[in-house]
Amino acid sequence: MAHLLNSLDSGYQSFYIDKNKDETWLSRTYNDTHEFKIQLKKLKAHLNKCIQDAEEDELNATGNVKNINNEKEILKRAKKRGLVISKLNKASRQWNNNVTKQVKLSGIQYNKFKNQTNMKSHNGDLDSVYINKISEEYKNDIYLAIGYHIARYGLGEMQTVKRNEIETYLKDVYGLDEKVAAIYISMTEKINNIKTYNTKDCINDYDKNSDIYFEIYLLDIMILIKDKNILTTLEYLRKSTSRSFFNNKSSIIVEKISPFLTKVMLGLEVENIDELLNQQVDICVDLVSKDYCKQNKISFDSSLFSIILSGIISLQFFIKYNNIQKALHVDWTTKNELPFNVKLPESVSKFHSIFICPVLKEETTIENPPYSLPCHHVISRKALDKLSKNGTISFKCPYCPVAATISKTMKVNFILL
Amino acid sequence: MKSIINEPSTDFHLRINEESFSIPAEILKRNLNKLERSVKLRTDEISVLLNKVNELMDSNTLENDKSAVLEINKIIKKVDRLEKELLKTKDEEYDILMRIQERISFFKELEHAKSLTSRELLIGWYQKYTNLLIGDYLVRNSKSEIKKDDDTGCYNNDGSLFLKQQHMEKLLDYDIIINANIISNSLIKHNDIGPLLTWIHDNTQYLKSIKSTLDFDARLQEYLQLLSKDNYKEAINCFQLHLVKFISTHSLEIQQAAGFLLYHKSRCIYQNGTTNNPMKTPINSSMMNTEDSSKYNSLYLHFFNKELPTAYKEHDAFFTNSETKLELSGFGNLNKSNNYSNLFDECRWKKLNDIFLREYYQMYGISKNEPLLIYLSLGISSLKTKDCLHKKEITTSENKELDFYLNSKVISNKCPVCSNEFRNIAKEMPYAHHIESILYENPIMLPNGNVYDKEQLEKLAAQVTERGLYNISSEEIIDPIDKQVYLKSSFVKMYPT
Repeated sequence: MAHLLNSLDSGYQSFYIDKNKDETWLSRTYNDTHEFKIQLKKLKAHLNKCIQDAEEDELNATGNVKNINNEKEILKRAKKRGLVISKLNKASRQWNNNVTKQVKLSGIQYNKFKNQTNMKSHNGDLDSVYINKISEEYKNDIYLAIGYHIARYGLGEMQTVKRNEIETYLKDVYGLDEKVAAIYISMTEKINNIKTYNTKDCINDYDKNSDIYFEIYLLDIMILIKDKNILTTLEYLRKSTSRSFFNNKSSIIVEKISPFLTKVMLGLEVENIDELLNQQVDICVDLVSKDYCKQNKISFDSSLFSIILSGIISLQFFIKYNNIQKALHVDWTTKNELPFNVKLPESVSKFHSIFICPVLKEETTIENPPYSLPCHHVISRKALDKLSKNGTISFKCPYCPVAATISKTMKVNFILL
Repeated sequence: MKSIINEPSTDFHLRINEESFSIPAEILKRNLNKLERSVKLRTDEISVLLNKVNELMDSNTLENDKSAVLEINKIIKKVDRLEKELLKTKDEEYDILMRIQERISFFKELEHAKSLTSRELLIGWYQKYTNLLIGDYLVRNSKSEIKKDDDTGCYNNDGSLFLKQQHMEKLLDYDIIINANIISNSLIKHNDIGPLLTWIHDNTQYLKSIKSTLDFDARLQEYLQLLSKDNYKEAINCFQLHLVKFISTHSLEIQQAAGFLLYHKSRCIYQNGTTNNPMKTPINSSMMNTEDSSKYNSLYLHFFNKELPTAYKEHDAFFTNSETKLELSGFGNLNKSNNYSNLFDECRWKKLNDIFLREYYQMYGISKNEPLLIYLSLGISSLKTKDCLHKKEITTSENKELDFYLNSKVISNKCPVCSNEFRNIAKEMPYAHHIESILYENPIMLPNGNVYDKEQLEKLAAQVTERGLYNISSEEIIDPIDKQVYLKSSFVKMYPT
C-alpha cells in the first residue's frame, strides 16, 4: 500500500471545495469579486439615474410651484437612493467578509498540503549518499550520454521530422557523432513505421522463419481485421500462408489467428482488437529494436538508463548502510569498493563475468587472477600463494581431497559471451 | 507490495521526490502571501472609500451625491485591480494544481505497474523517470543560453525544451530553476546585480527569517561594482542607503568597504582618473597635489565624520606609510593593500552567486546536487566490476571477415560502465561489492585457459558456420578471443564455486 501516495492524493482533492466543480477557495474569491464589481456598477448606475432624474426635475421645476406628482417622484427617488446606499454597504460588507474568509481558508488548505509534502525521511536523502561526486569537468561526457539516451528512446517524441535536422540537433547540443546518430534515427523510423501500421518495408527485412517476421505478420492480420476488410484479410492469409511456412508455429496460428478468422468469416467484430493491436505493436517494436541494436552493435538500453536504474535500485541500500554506519560509528571498510552488495536485474548488469575467490572471498582481478586446480576447482592467485606457501609445498584443494602443487595449476580467464 | 526488480517502493520514491510536491506547495503559499497583502491593502482602501461615500450621501445633496458617484468609481477601480490580481493568482493556482495532479498520476502509474507486477510497465516508468532526471540536469546545466519564447512569454533552455518534447513539463518546476539561472547568468556573465536585488527585495522576509547575509553581500558587491566604474556618487549613495544599516553585524566589512573607497579613489587621483584598473598601478606619491589632498580630506570627513588626522594630511606620510597607518585608524587586520585587491576579484561574483543559489534552492527545498548525477554515481559504483574498463587483448587471425564478426558482434561489450561516455567518470568510482560469483550454467575450460559457457560456444560455432565465415565441424568450436578452433573433446568442465 502506497500510504503516502494516497494521503497526497486526498490532500490534493481537498483543494477543491466542490469535488465535481473544480472550484477552489481562490477561484470562489475571484468569482465573488467579479460579482461584486458588477453589483457596484449596477448600484452606481442606479445612483446616477437618481441624480439625473433629480437634475431634470430641477430644470423642469418652474418657480416655486411643485406639483404633487413630482413630490411622489422625489419620495420614490429618496427611497431608491436609500436602497442603493444600504445595498452598497451590505454588498461591501459581505464581499469583504467573504474575501477575507476565503483567502484565509485557502491559506489553511495550502498549509495543510505543505505539511503533507513533508515526506523526507529523517533517515537520509539523496544528498546524504552522494559521496563520490561527479565533477563538472565531465559535463561533456554527461551530455554525450544524454544524447545517446535521447537518440535511443526520445526521437519519436521529437517534433522536427527532418532527418538532418535531428542529426544536427544531436550533434550541436549533445556532441553526438552524425554517423552514430544516423543509426538511431533509422531505428526510430523503423519503430515509427510499426507504430503507424506501416509494416510493408519492415517485414521484408526479416527472414521468413524468424520470430520477428511472424509477429509482424500477425500484426498485419490484426490491422486488416481492425479495418474490417474481410476479403483483403482472407486474400492476405491465402497468399502468404503456405504449408512449409510457419511450420513450427502452427499451434500459435491456431491459437491466435483462428479466433480472428472465425469472427471475420461470421462478420462479427473482434471487441478488444484495439487493445490486442497495441499489445502486438509493443511486441513488434520490442523485437525489431532488439534485433536492430544487435545488428548495429548498439546496446538495447542506453548506458545512461542502465546506470540510472541501477542507481535507483541501489539507493535504498546506500541509505540503509549510511544509517548503520551512523549508528555504529563505523567507517567504510574500503574506499575502493562498496561495503554492501546490491542485487540488480541482469538486463542492466550482466556484462562481465564475476568470480569470487572462495578462499579470500574477493573478486578476482587482473593482479589477482583465478587459477584452476587439478581438480578443476578455481581459486585466486593470492589464495594459491597462501595455500602453497608461495609455491613451496603441495596443498589440499579447499573443496575436495585432491592435492595440488602450484605447477599443476593453470591461470584461467572467465569470459561472458 | 513486492518489488519486481528489487526496486524501491512507491512511498520510498515519494520521499526521495518530496520536492515534486513541496515546491508547488511552496509556490502556492508564496503566491497566496502576496495576494493576502494586496487583499488587505485593497479592502482597507475600499473601506475608507466606502466611509467617504456614506459621509457624502449622509448630507443628501445633489452635489455630494455626484461626488459619491465619483468615489464609487474609485471603489470599482480598486475592485477591478484586485479582480485582476485574483485572476492572476487563480490562474497560477490552477497551473500549480495541475502540476500536483500530474505528479500524483505519475506516481500512481508506478504503483499501477507494481500492482500488475508488469516488468514492461515498470521499465517504461523508470524510463520516464530517467527522462525527468535528464530534464532536471539539463535545466540546471543548460549549455545553450536561456531564450524567451515570444508566443508564450516563457523562458526556455536545453532542459525545458527537452521536457516539452517529452511532454513532461508539468512534472518538473523548471521555471523556478530557470528563474534562478537568469539571476545567476546576469551575475556571472554580465556582472549585473539588478535581477538579484529585485529577487532579494521580493523575499526580504524569508531571507531575514533564515538570517541570510545575502542582502549585505549583494549590496557590498553593488557598491564595489559602482566603485570599479568610478561612479563615486552612486557608490556613496549605495553605501549610505544600504550598507550602513548592517554596521552591527558586518562592521569589519563595512570599514573595509569604506576604506576601500579612499584607497581606490586615491589611486585614481594619482592617475588623474585615467586608470581603469587601479590595483595594477603602483603608487607614485610625488604626483599628489594640494587640491587632491583636500578632496581626500572631505572624503574622510564624509565617512568618519571627523578631520583627517594631522599625520595623514602630510601626503607622503599617508601614502608611503598608508598600510601601517590604516591599521592604526582601525582597519584591523584588513590593513594590507593586498586585502583590498580581492575586492575587485571576479571570484566575488561567483561567491555571491553561490550564496544566492544556496538560499534560493533552500527556499524552495531544491536539492543541492543534481539527482541525475547522484544516481549516476551510485549506479556506476553498483555496476562497476573489477573487469570493467580494461582493454582486452584480442588476437587476430588471417580471416578478416571472421575477425570482424567475432570482435564486433561477439566479444564487444556493451557494459554501460565501460561505454565511451562513462568510462572516464567510472575511473574515479569505487567498485561494486559482490558476494557471489556471477558466471554461467556450464563453464568449460579450453586448453588455452579461457572459460566459457558451453552452450554459448556451441551456438557461436553454428553461427559462424551458418554465416559462411568459417567451416567448423560439429565436433569443434571456435574461441572468439584467440580465434582458434578446438575440439569439443578438449573441453574441461570447471567447478568454480
